[in-house]
Amino acid sequence: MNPGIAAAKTVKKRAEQGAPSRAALLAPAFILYGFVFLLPFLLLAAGSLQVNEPQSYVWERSFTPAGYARLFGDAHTIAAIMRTLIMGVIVVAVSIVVGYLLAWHIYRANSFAKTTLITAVLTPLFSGALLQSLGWYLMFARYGPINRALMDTGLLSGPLNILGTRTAIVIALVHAFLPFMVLSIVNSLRSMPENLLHAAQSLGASNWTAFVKVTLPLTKGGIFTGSALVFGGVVGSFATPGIIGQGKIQLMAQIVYQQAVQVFDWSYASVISVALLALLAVLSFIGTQIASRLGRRDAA
Amino acid sequence: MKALTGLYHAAVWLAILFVISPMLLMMVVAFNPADYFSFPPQGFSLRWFAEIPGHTGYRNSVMNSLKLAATATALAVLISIPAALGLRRGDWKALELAVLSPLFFPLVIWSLGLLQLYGMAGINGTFLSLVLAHTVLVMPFIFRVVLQSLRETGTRYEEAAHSLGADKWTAFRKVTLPLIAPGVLVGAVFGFLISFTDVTLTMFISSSGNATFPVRVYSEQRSEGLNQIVLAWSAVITFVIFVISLAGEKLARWSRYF
Repeated sequence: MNPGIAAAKTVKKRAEQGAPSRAALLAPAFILYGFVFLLPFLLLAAGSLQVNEPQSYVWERSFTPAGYARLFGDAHTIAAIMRTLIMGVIVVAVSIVVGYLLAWHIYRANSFAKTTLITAVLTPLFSGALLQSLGWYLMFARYGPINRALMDTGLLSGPLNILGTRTAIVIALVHAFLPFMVLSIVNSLRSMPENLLHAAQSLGASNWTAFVKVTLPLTKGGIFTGSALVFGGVVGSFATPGIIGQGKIQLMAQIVYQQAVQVFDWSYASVISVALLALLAVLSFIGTQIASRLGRRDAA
Repeated sequence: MKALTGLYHAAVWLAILFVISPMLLMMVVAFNPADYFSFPPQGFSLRWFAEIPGHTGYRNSVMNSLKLAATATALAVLISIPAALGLRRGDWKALELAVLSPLFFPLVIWSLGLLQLYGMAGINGTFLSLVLAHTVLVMPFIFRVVLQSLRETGTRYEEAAHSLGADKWTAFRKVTLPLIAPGVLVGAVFGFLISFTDVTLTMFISSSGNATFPVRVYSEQRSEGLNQIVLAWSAVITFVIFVISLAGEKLARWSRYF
């Protein structure tokens, strides 16, 4: 036998010696996920079609579609769903504009400024929803800096109630999810071949034309990823609208929490959750369709 | 043209100010010696930081947060590494997506299902139930970074180790693991911070005995407002997170993992 082939065989045998199979490598993760992630969703789906008896086991309860019938007549909850979705769209739109501005600046900055700016973006991201919204809570407080500044400049005679308004929640939510948009766009700018811009400019395109015709189309992927992350974040946001909305304006997550933990109606909370999941599935399908349509038009 | 450039720079600075101002404000007011929040601060003092150790309630909740985040992160690292090894070839995309899937579902919905599961299993409010949930919460972040570092590393070094006589386990321990160690560390720090700052999931499944700092402060804020001890703690935590963010970007350029 050819000695080279023999050596390769020995190496291959060694590589497989005592190696756990792929199934064994994946088993811990999927056992954990099956119990802690998949099972809760199955219980949720079953619970949404059952009477509300939190003290009994899922197989003991009788089935009823009453929860879904109730949802269609529940103007309060439907309004909250609509409010959440509309807020998601507004926050995404603002984040794209502000996020692109910051991302572009970060992309063009020298290495020191780049590290500083990225740290400035990462710190609020890692601080989490609670610490971020405490900051905005203080900012918007009756005797906080914004009211103070407005009164000192004579624009206002008395303090304004900023907390509990829709604008305040939008501002805090943009702040909460902007880092995702910035980082998505920065990463897509980084993967863009730089000489394309020079080529466009050497062919006579102005900075602005080069940006609109070359940079923007090449970073569309980053904008889409960022938008999906921001939209999903807004739909699931809990602490930020809780602290800034002060219970006056509720988004989806709070309605679900209220039903589940305060009213103790697990069945109806499950109905709202399943409806929301279905809605999100439809929206993400439409989103990917639009994304691929736009991608194709560009390629043509 | 000059006016436009000026406008661009003004807009960039406004955006930067927007990003940093709430955290900055929180740091500044923590040094205010007054009994209640006021702006502008009435002076500069370390009064509230000195009072931090005396309030065992908040201290315990921070300890709960640290214990939970450390346990869940360690467990998630131990499960993520084999899972990433099993999926590094990239031929089982569906399973890869399944490990990442907790990222795509609103936390509040999963938490509601968990509440029902734990109720039935009779482990509601226990430390174990929190650890299990947080392990899954941080898995996607850790798994993604580990998988990416495995793919960037490639298999050439392992093959070299095998040709020199190493079996699979030795090659993993002596070659692969050291090569992906920076990625594992970055993933672990990501995961730790996600767990440490979580409000939504923990709000549903924790009990008053093991409530974390964010959950305790959130519930308290909604019922009785904020006090200066909380602001001092928040300033400390924000500062630590700032240092971690800076170190991670400077040493590992970890923003590229997003």
